[in-house]
Amino acid sequence: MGQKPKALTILDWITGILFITAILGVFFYAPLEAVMGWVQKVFYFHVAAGWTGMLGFLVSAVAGVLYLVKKDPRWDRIGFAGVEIGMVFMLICIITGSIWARPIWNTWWTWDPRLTTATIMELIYAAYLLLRQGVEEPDRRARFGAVYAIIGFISVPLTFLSIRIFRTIHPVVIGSNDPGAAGAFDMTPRMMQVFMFSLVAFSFIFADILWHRIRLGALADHVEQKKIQLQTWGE
Amino acid sequence: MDTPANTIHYFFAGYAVIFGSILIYIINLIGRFMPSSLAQS
Repeated sequence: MGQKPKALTILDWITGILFITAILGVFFYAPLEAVMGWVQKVFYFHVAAGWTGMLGFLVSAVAGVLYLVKKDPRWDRIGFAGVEIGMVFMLICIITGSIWARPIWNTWWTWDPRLTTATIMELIYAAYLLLRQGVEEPDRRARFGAVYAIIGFISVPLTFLSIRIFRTIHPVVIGSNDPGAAGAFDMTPRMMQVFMFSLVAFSFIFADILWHRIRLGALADHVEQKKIQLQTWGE
Repeated sequence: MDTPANTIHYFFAGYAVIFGSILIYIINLIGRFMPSSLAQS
């Protein structure tokens, strides 16, 4: 495990600057929505967090395929990191969605198709983390993780498309809304700029955290191997 | 003309969740990194 790469330090700074700019954009540049007021501004990071979560699950599925093909433990580390980060951001997305729903839908929660599929997706990946812990042998654990991440990924397009294929009250950001959607709004150019910028900023946050998490995984594996070596010498 | 709904408390709650969760996760990552770095050295 070497020193922190210079490219990672640069990525840290770029990510920090983009994140602060996105926050300033949401707080001061994006206009106040005429009906919903301030709570509409939660939407920018709510969608960006959902996007980041799905990106994490996509990375884990791709890493799963590559692990099964190449049998390189690096892909297992990447897949594991993708699921962990994806879960954190998807949880942010679900909770902020619930906070937005309270004043707009007059309820914290409803079993709408989008909310239901997002919750099932989160639980599928929570099970991934729990079941992984139960497999001790590293190769078996990695193979299990790879196959699970590939199969579990089916829940991601289902969640994404749920508001387009089922009757729902959840608004659609890009595309036409269901007639029963509550809380939909027309985005002004400034809103669209902040929204797109937030997606870019969160993509950088994802890449930055993913890199750090992969390095942590590599370090943990390295320490584990050294411990095993020390135990072998001691016997 | 109608004024927007007063939803600023929900706005603060939403961003508290976003910043809080990201911060907790980053602190958690640092917390896991430190012992591994020490063990390696």
